[in-house]
Amino acid sequence: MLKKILTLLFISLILNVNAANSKAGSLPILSGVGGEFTAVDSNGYTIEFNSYAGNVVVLAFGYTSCADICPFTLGYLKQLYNKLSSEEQQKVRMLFVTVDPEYDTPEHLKAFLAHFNEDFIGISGSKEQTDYIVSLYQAEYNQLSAIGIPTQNIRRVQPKLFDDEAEAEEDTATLFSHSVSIYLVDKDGFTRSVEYTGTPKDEFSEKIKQLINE
Amino acid sequence: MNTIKKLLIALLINLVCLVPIYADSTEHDVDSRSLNVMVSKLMSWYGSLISNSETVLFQEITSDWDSYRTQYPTDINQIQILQTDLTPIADKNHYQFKVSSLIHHEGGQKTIDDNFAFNIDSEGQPKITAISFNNNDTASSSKNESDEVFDAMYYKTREFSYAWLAYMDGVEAIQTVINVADWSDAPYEINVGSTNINQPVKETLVTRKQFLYKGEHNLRLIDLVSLDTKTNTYLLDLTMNWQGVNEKNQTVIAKINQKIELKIMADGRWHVISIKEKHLLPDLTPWQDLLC
Repeated sequence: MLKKILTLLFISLILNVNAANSKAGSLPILSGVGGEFTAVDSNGYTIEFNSYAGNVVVLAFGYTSCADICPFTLGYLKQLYNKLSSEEQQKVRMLFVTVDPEYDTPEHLKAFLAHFNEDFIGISGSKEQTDYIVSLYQAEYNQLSAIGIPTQNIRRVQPKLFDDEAEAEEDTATLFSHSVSIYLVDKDGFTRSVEYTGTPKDEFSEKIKQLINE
Repeated sequence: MNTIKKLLIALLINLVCLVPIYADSTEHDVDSRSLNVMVSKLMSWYGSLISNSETVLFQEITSDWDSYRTQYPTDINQIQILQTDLTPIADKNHYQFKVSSLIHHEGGQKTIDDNFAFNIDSEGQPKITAISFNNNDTASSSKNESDEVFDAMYYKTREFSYAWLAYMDGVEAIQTVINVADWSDAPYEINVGSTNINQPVKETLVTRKQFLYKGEHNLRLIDLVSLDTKTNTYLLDLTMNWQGVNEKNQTVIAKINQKIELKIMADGRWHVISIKEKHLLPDLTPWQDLLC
């Protein structure tokens, strides 16, 4: 009985959230959310955000040493990306912006994201560049620990690669909290929707397709 | 059982989070420009009834209503609006605005129900065409639970703010209420994402149309803080929602914060010194502020 009530409540919750999003319906431009920035992609190239113009962008914040939501978000994005045809995938850029650019080098981001999908693009840069991107999307992140946590206790999926094994064993990283929102940006660079891993993937992929076809 | 209660509460919170979206759609039954000009006029009406209001300058109320205004007590020090109900009549230019208020005066308190009929003229200006009055002598002993003081300054702040919103919506005629011509050269800075606009008011309002070409401002939060009593300067902090289209006719929504520094002149006019505007993340989803 309890399970049934919980299920009904959960469905009701999701339907209400979806109803609210449907109310926005035509995916209006969210004025002042996002904008032009400079950063470094996971190939090590300096990029301008407008270099992705003409493509639909799905953008999320996180970091490779994240012990909770980031792997879940990336797994979600992987499944979302797989819902698109290869032709549609060519018109979409999946960006993962690290909030820990000091630890997440372009090389490490590339190796980490390849575990989910090799098309995914890691975005890093200086701390100032990171803070600017976070502020543009009106997101937030906070450093949680002053001291480094051994990364072998956090993540085993894609450890950072070191030449020296001892160095790998001593590797530590800082923990952060950060916004969980996933931003959907149109071909002109306007943010059109704010989603999260609770958004049904079919619904999200339809929104992406809608923007591709605009 | 406790789990169910917690989930019900979570569901309720979730629904409450969504209210702004539906509240907007309800309000859009009334043209927002009309709403802003009518509310500005009502703020003038109530503010000018307060006994110390001679030190605060309100827009003029036509003498047609002088006799009507004698029905209110003469020694009012606060008016607390308890309830409002705005209904369009016949077409988009005629409205009925019912207002229930609690009047605090030297002799005590009394509740009054006013019913205003408005006609919006071709220039967007509101004209009161009829008023009916219901004086409830059975005074409510309602206590103001907030620290807010509903004095003449409270109403002046709202008269100015609603008129400014109507002006931004394109009601040029209301500029006489806020004296825009006097401060149209004041700096007005806008940050929209990575775009920064920093020009005089008259120019920024034109440039702003790239992003917010045609639409409606709906006031959500308002606060006035004294910056310096010697120079009589204040900071008016406004948060509003906007919905409309940009220059390319694409639908846009915005949550806008404006920090307006102003000086109250010796003759009571409000003179804007500067405006800083920032576009915030609109209130769309319950999860947008979640951190993990």
